[in-house]
Amino acid sequence: MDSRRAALGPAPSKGIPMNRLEFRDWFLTAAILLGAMVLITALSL
Amino acid sequence: MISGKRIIPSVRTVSLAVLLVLFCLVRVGEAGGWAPGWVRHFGDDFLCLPLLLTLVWAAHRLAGRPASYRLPLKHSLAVLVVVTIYFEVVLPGRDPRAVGDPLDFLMYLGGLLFFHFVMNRPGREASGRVVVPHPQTN
Repeated sequence: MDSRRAALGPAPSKGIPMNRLEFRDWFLTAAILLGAMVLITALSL
Repeated sequence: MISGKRIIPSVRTVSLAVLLVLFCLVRVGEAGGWAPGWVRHFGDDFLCLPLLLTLVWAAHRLAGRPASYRLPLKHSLAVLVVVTIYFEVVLPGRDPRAVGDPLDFLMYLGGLLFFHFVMNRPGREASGRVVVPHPQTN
């Protein structure tokens, strides 16, 4: 079993879980939106 | 021509360039007073969502999303709802210089549809640059 495991190489990295990716995307969307609204408000009014 | 390949700008890149030129024209026209009334009233509102959503898409890409990444519709709709509520309901109630106009919502919606169906296309065509082989010349 150990030799088969060694032949397969290290287990692939799982990376960032999907829910954390989704949270990061929503955070980025909110940050860009908030920044744009503040900027537009400051520049136009 | 170093690599023997031609680089064709993507639909997203061309659309963004056109929108930025239009945005500059609208702002200059407003400042100069020569822009027609419908451009003054609705130009910014139509251009707002495609430019804003492109910024959001670029932020997602910079954070590691692949080149074929397509901004989900739920993000676009959330931006539409927040922008509409803020600029058409909240701000006119707090500042007399701001005006709430129901037609502005239609302009925001038009901008969102333009972004979603023209600029936010999946695949390499929408992701920046498309490299095509240069035709062989013998």
